[in-house]
Amino acid sequence: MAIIIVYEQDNKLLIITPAPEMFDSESPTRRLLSSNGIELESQQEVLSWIIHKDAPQHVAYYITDDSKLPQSRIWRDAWTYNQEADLFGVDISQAIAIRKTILQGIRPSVLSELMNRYLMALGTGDITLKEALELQINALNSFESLDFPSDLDVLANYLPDCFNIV
Amino acid sequence: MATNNALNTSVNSFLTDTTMAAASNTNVYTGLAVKTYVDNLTTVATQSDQETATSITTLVTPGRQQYHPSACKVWCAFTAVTSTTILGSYNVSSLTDGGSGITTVNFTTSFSSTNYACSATADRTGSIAVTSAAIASRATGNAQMATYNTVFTPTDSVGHFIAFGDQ
Repeated sequence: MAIIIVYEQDNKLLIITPAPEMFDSESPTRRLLSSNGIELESQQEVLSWIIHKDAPQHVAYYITDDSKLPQSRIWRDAWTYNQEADLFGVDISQAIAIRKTILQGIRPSVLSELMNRYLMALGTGDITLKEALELQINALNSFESLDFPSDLDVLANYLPDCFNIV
Repeated sequence: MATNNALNTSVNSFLTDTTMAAASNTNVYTGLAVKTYVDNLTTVATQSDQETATSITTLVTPGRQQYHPSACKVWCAFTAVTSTTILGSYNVSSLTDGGSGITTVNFTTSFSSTNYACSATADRTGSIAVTSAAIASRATGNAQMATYNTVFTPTDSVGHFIAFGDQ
Protein backbone atom coordinates (compact mmCIF):
# COMPACT_ATOMS: atom_id res chain seq x y z
CA MET A 1 0.00 0.00 0.00
CA ALA A 2 1.17 3.51 -0.76
CA ILE A 3 2.30 5.62 2.18
CA ILE A 4 3.23 9.28 2.30
CA ILE A 5 6.51 10.44 3.84
CA VAL A 6 6.77 14.00 5.10
CA TYR A 7 9.60 15.82 6.83
CA GLU A 8 8.25 18.47 9.16
CA GLN A 9 10.13 21.71 9.54
CA ASP A 10 11.89 20.42 12.66
CA ASN A 11 13.14 17.47 10.55
CA LYS A 12 10.69 15.12 12.20
CA LEU A 13 9.66 12.25 9.93
CA LEU A 14 5.92 11.70 9.57
CA ILE A 15 4.43 8.67 7.87
CA ILE A 16 0.86 8.94 6.62
CA THR A 17 -1.00 5.69 6.04
CA PRO A 18 -4.26 6.03 4.06
CA ALA A 19 -7.25 4.14 5.42
CA PRO A 20 -8.03 1.10 3.21
CA GLU A 21 -11.71 2.14 3.29
CA MET A 22 -10.73 5.22 1.28
CA PHE A 23 -9.91 3.02 -1.71
CA ASP A 24 -13.25 1.18 -1.62
CA SER A 25 -15.86 3.36 -3.33
CA GLU A 26 -18.64 1.33 -1.66
CA SER A 27 -17.32 1.70 1.90
CA PRO A 28 -19.37 3.69 4.41
CA THR A 29 -16.55 6.22 4.65
CA ARG A 30 -16.60 6.85 0.90
CA ARG A 31 -20.39 6.99 0.88
CA LEU A 32 -20.22 9.59 3.62
CA LEU A 33 -17.82 11.58 1.48
CA SER A 34 -20.15 11.27 -1.50
CA SER A 35 -23.06 12.50 0.59
CA ASN A 36 -20.95 15.58 1.28
CA GLY A 37 -20.40 16.09 -2.44
CA ILE A 38 -16.88 14.73 -2.66
CA GLU A 39 -16.48 12.20 -5.46
CA LEU A 40 -13.09 10.57 -6.01
CA GLU A 41 -12.77 8.67 -9.26
CA SER A 42 -9.44 6.86 -9.00
CA GLN A 43 -6.89 5.67 -6.48
CA GLN A 44 -4.61 8.51 -7.55
CA GLU A 45 -7.38 11.00 -6.82
CA VAL A 46 -7.88 9.45 -3.40
CA LEU A 47 -4.18 9.70 -2.63
CA SER A 48 -4.01 13.30 -3.83
CA TRP A 49 -7.03 14.22 -1.74
CA ILE A 50 -5.46 12.66 1.37
CA ILE A 51 -2.15 14.43 0.75
CA HIS A 52 -3.90 17.76 0.28
CA LYS A 53 -5.97 17.32 3.44
CA ASP A 54 -3.75 15.38 5.86
CA ALA A 55 -0.13 16.24 5.01
CA PRO A 56 1.39 19.40 6.49
CA GLN A 57 1.35 22.26 4.02
CA HIS A 58 4.43 23.84 2.45
CA VAL A 59 6.72 20.87 3.02
CA ALA A 60 7.92 18.26 0.57
CA TYR A 61 6.30 14.85 0.57
CA TYR A 62 7.26 11.55 -0.95
CA ILE A 63 5.16 8.55 -1.85
CA THR A 64 6.56 5.09 -1.37
CA ASP A 65 5.32 1.62 -0.58
CA ASP A 66 4.84 0.43 2.99
CA SER A 67 7.01 -2.60 2.21
CA LYS A 68 9.98 -0.21 2.31
CA LEU A 69 9.46 0.51 6.00
CA PRO A 70 11.96 -1.00 8.46
CA GLN A 71 10.81 -4.33 9.88
CA SER A 72 11.21 -3.16 13.47
CA ARG A 73 9.96 0.07 15.01
CA ILE A 74 12.50 0.00 17.84
CA TRP A 75 14.35 2.94 16.24
CA ARG A 76 11.21 4.67 14.91
CA ASP A 77 12.12 8.04 16.37
CA ALA A 78 15.54 7.83 14.68
CA TRP A 79 14.28 6.90 11.22
CA THR A 80 15.48 8.82 8.21
CA TYR A 81 14.33 8.59 4.61
CA ASN A 82 16.49 8.99 1.53
CA GLN A 83 14.05 9.87 -1.22
CA GLU A 84 16.59 9.40 -4.04
CA ALA A 85 17.39 5.85 -3.02
CA ASP A 86 13.87 5.29 -1.65
CA LEU A 87 15.41 3.83 1.49
CA PHE A 88 14.80 4.25 5.18
CA GLY A 89 17.77 4.52 7.52
CA VAL A 90 18.53 5.18 11.18
CA ASP A 91 20.28 8.22 12.65
CA ILE A 92 22.74 6.62 15.07
CA SER A 93 22.91 9.59 17.45
CA GLN A 94 19.12 9.56 17.71
CA ALA A 95 19.20 5.80 18.22
CA ILE A 96 21.65 6.19 21.11
CA ALA A 97 19.38 8.85 22.61
CA ILE A 98 16.46 6.38 22.40
CA ARG A 99 18.49 3.68 24.18
CA LYS A 100 19.51 6.16 26.88
CA THR A 101 15.86 7.09 27.44
CA ILE A 102 14.98 3.42 27.90
CA LEU A 103 17.85 3.02 30.37
CA GLN A 104 16.69 6.12 32.23
CA GLY A 105 13.46 4.25 32.84
CA ILE A 106 15.30 1.22 34.23
CA ARG A 107 17.78 3.22 36.34
CA PRO A 108 15.57 4.03 39.38
CA SER A 109 14.90 0.37 40.22
CA VAL A 110 18.58 -0.53 39.82
CA LEU A 111 19.59 2.46 41.94
CA SER A 112 17.12 1.48 44.64
CA GLU A 113 18.54 -2.05 44.84
CA LEU A 114 22.13 -0.74 44.95
CA MET A 115 21.23 1.68 47.74
CA ASN A 116 19.72 -1.15 49.77
CA ARG A 117 22.89 -3.17 49.35
CA TYR A 118 25.00 -0.13 50.20
CA LEU A 119 23.12 0.37 53.49
CA MET A 120 23.53 -3.32 54.30
CA ALA A 121 27.29 -3.06 53.59
CA LEU A 122 27.44 -0.09 55.94
CA GLY A 123 25.63 -2.09 58.59
CA THR A 124 27.92 -5.09 58.31
CA GLY A 125 31.05 -2.96 58.00
CA ASP A 126 31.99 -4.50 54.64
CA ILE A 127 34.23 -1.68 53.44
CA THR A 128 35.24 -3.38 50.19
CA LEU A 129 31.64 -3.93 49.14
CA LYS A 130 30.67 -0.43 50.28
CA GLU A 131 33.38 1.16 48.11
CA ALA A 132 32.48 -1.00 45.13
CA LEU A 133 28.83 -0.01 45.46
CA GLU A 134 29.76 3.67 45.75
CA LEU A 135 31.62 3.41 42.46
CA GLN A 136 28.72 1.62 40.78
CA ILE A 137 26.16 4.13 42.07
CA ASN A 138 28.28 7.02 40.82
CA ALA A 139 28.63 5.34 37.43
CA LEU A 140 24.89 4.72 37.30
CA ASN A 141 24.17 8.37 38.02
CA SER A 142 26.33 9.48 35.11
CA PHE A 143 25.76 6.59 32.68
CA GLU A 144 24.69 8.93 29.90
CA SER A 145 28.26 10.16 29.53
CA LEU A 146 29.49 6.64 28.71
CA ASP A 147 30.34 5.63 25.15
CA PHE A 148 27.53 3.66 23.57
CA PRO A 149 27.98 1.14 20.72
CA SER A 150 27.21 2.33 17.21
CA ASP A 151 26.11 -1.10 15.97
CA LEU A 152 22.30 -1.00 16.06
CA ASP A 153 21.95 -4.70 16.85
CA VAL A 154 24.30 -4.36 19.83
CA LEU A 155 22.79 -1.05 20.87
CA ALA A 156 19.27 -2.52 20.97
CA ASN A 157 20.08 -4.53 24.10
CA TYR A 158 23.10 -2.61 25.37
CA LEU A 159 23.33 -2.48 29.16
CA PRO A 160 26.29 -0.62 30.69
CA ASP A 161 28.11 -2.57 33.43
CA CYS A 162 26.82 -0.22 36.11
CA PHE A 163 23.29 -1.59 35.47
CA ASN A 164 24.31 -5.14 36.38
CA ILE A 165 23.53 -6.12 39.95
CA VAL A 166 25.87 -8.90 40.97
CA MET B 1 -74.34 1.48 0.72
CA ALA B 2 -72.20 -1.48 -0.33
CA THR B 3 -72.51 -4.95 1.18
CA ASN B 4 -69.70 -7.45 1.72
CA ASN B 5 -71.19 -10.90 2.02
CA ALA B 6 -67.95 -12.56 3.07
CA LEU B 7 -67.60 -10.27 6.09
CA ASN B 8 -71.33 -10.25 6.53
CA THR B 9 -71.19 -6.49 6.96
CA SER B 10 -71.90 -3.35 5.00
CA VAL B 11 -69.98 -0.13 4.38
CA ASN B 12 -71.68 2.90 5.75
CA SER B 13 -69.34 5.65 4.55
CA PHE B 14 -65.98 6.57 3.05
CA LEU B 15 -63.39 8.26 5.30
CA THR B 16 -60.79 10.83 4.21
CA ASP B 17 -58.94 11.25 7.50
CA THR B 18 -55.25 10.91 6.58
CA THR B 19 -54.26 9.90 10.11
CA MET B 20 -56.55 6.84 9.87
CA ALA B 21 -57.40 7.32 13.53
CA ALA B 22 -60.77 5.58 13.43
CA ALA B 23 -61.01 1.78 13.32
CA SER B 24 -64.26 0.41 12.03
CA ASN B 25 -65.60 -2.51 9.98
CA THR B 26 -68.30 -0.36 8.46
CA ASN B 27 -66.28 2.64 7.20
CA VAL B 28 -63.67 2.56 4.39
CA TYR B 29 -60.76 4.95 3.92
CA THR B 30 -60.34 6.45 0.47
CA GLY B 31 -57.32 5.65 -1.65
CA LEU B 32 -55.97 9.17 -1.15
CA ALA B 33 -56.33 8.90 2.62
CA VAL B 34 -54.44 5.59 2.63
CA LYS B 35 -51.71 6.89 0.32
CA THR B 36 -51.20 10.03 2.40
CA TYR B 37 -51.11 7.97 5.58
CA VAL B 38 -48.47 5.61 4.15
CA ASP B 39 -46.47 8.48 2.69
CA ASN B 40 -46.41 10.15 6.09
CA LEU B 41 -45.31 6.91 7.67
CA THR B 42 -42.36 6.63 5.32
CA THR B 43 -41.09 10.19 5.52
CA VAL B 44 -37.30 9.85 5.54
CA ALA B 45 -35.31 11.88 8.02
CA THR B 46 -33.06 14.50 6.48
CA GLN B 47 -29.64 15.40 7.90
CA SER B 48 -31.33 18.34 9.61
CA ASP B 49 -34.00 16.04 11.10
CA GLN B 50 -31.27 13.82 12.45
CA GLU B 51 -29.28 16.69 13.91
CA THR B 52 -32.38 18.20 15.51
CA ALA B 53 -33.26 14.76 16.85
CA THR B 54 -36.82 15.58 17.92
CA SER B 55 -39.08 13.90 15.34
CA ILE B 56 -40.85 10.71 16.36
CA THR B 57 -42.61 10.18 13.01
CA THR B 58 -39.81 10.25 10.43
CA LEU B 59 -37.79 7.17 9.60
CA VAL B 60 -34.01 6.93 9.64
CA THR B 61 -32.11 5.41 6.73
CA PRO B 62 -28.60 3.93 6.92
CA GLY B 63 -27.19 6.77 4.87
CA ARG B 64 -28.26 9.40 7.39
CA GLN B 65 -28.22 7.71 10.79
CA GLN B 66 -24.70 9.00 11.42
CA TYR B 67 -25.95 12.59 11.70
CA HIS B 68 -27.81 11.93 14.97
CA PRO B 69 -26.08 13.53 18.00
CA SER B 70 -25.85 10.14 19.68
CA ALA B 71 -24.12 8.44 16.74
CA CYS B 72 -20.41 7.71 16.68
CA LYS B 73 -18.89 10.05 14.09
CA VAL B 74 -15.42 8.54 13.86
CA TRP B 75 -13.90 5.24 14.90
CA CYS B 76 -10.64 3.52 14.19
CA ALA B 77 -8.73 0.45 15.34
CA PHE B 78 -5.11 0.18 14.37
CA THR B 79 -1.82 -1.38 15.26
CA ALA B 80 1.44 0.52 15.32
CA VAL B 81 3.50 -2.29 16.83
CA THR B 82 5.41 -3.38 13.73
CA SER B 83 4.04 -0.93 11.19
CA THR B 84 0.97 1.24 11.11
CA THR B 85 -1.94 -0.88 9.93
CA ILE B 86 -5.54 0.28 10.05
CA LEU B 87 -7.61 -2.70 11.19
CA GLY B 88 -10.97 -1.02 10.68
CA SER B 89 -12.33 2.50 10.54
CA TYR B 90 -15.16 4.85 9.70
CA ASN B 91 -14.80 8.47 8.62
CA VAL B 92 -11.00 8.14 8.73
CA SER B 93 -8.94 9.21 5.74
CA SER B 94 -5.53 8.30 7.12
CA LEU B 95 -3.35 7.89 10.19
CA THR B 96 -0.21 9.92 10.67
CA ASP B 97 2.59 8.11 12.48
CA GLY B 98 4.36 10.92 14.32
CA GLY B 99 6.84 8.71 16.17
CA SER B 100 6.75 6.01 18.82
CA GLY B 101 3.34 5.95 20.44
CA ILE B 102 2.14 9.09 18.64
CA THR B 103 -0.68 8.71 16.09
CA THR B 104 -2.87 11.34 14.49
CA VAL B 105 -6.30 10.21 13.32
CA ASN B 106 -7.35 12.26 10.28
CA PHE B 107 -11.09 12.56 9.61
CA THR B 108 -12.66 12.57 6.16
CA THR B 109 -15.49 14.82 7.42
CA SER B 110 -14.48 17.39 10.01
CA PHE B 111 -16.36 18.32 13.15
CA SER B 112 -18.10 21.69 13.21
CA SER B 113 -15.97 22.74 16.19
CA THR B 114 -13.41 21.27 18.55
CA ASN B 115 -16.14 20.78 21.15
CA TYR B 116 -16.46 17.10 20.35
CA ALA B 117 -15.88 14.21 22.70
CA CYS B 118 -13.26 11.63 21.87
CA SER B 119 -11.54 8.77 23.56
CA ALA B 120 -8.33 6.85 22.99
CA THR B 121 -7.47 3.46 24.39
CA ALA B 122 -4.73 0.91 23.81
CA ASP B 123 -4.25 -2.82 24.09
CA ARG B 124 -1.55 -4.26 26.24
CA THR B 125 0.54 -5.87 23.51
CA GLY B 126 2.46 -8.91 24.69
CA SER B 127 5.24 -7.91 27.03
CA ILE B 128 4.91 -4.21 26.21
CA ALA B 129 3.45 -2.56 29.27
CA VAL B 130 1.24 0.08 27.69
CA THR B 131 -0.47 1.56 30.69
CA SER B 132 -2.31 4.57 29.37
CA ALA B 133 -3.55 6.37 26.29
CA ALA B 134 -4.49 9.99 25.97
CA ILE B 135 -5.67 12.59 23.50
CA ALA B 136 -2.62 14.78 22.97
CA SER B 137 -4.27 17.44 20.84
CA ARG B 138 -7.35 17.95 18.73
CA ALA B 139 -8.56 20.01 15.80
CA THR B 140 -11.80 19.90 13.85
CA GLY B 141 -10.23 17.65 11.22
CA ASN B 142 -8.03 15.38 13.31
CA ALA B 143 -7.00 14.30 16.78
CA GLN B 144 -3.64 13.15 18.00
CA MET B 145 -3.43 10.34 20.52
CA ALA B 146 -0.50 9.03 22.49
CA THR B 147 0.04 5.70 24.22
CA TYR B 148 2.47 5.44 27.11
CA ASN B 149 4.41 2.81 28.99
CA THR B 150 4.88 2.56 32.76
CA VAL B 151 7.40 5.41 32.87
CA PHE B 152 5.18 7.63 30.70
CA THR B 153 7.29 7.28 27.58
CA PRO B 154 5.28 7.13 24.32
CA THR B 155 5.16 3.49 23.25
CA ASP B 156 3.72 1.78 20.17
CA SER B 157 0.63 -0.33 20.71
CA VAL B 158 -2.66 -1.50 19.27
CA GLY B 159 -4.82 1.61 19.55
CA HIS B 160 -8.48 2.52 19.39
CA PHE B 161 -10.11 5.87 18.80
CA ILE B 162 -13.76 7.00 18.87
CA ALA B 163 -15.35 10.44 18.62
CA PHE B 164 -18.84 11.90 19.06
CA GLY B 165 -20.09 15.37 18.25
CA ASP B 166 -21.57 17.65 15.63
CA GLN B 167 -20.18 17.62 12.11
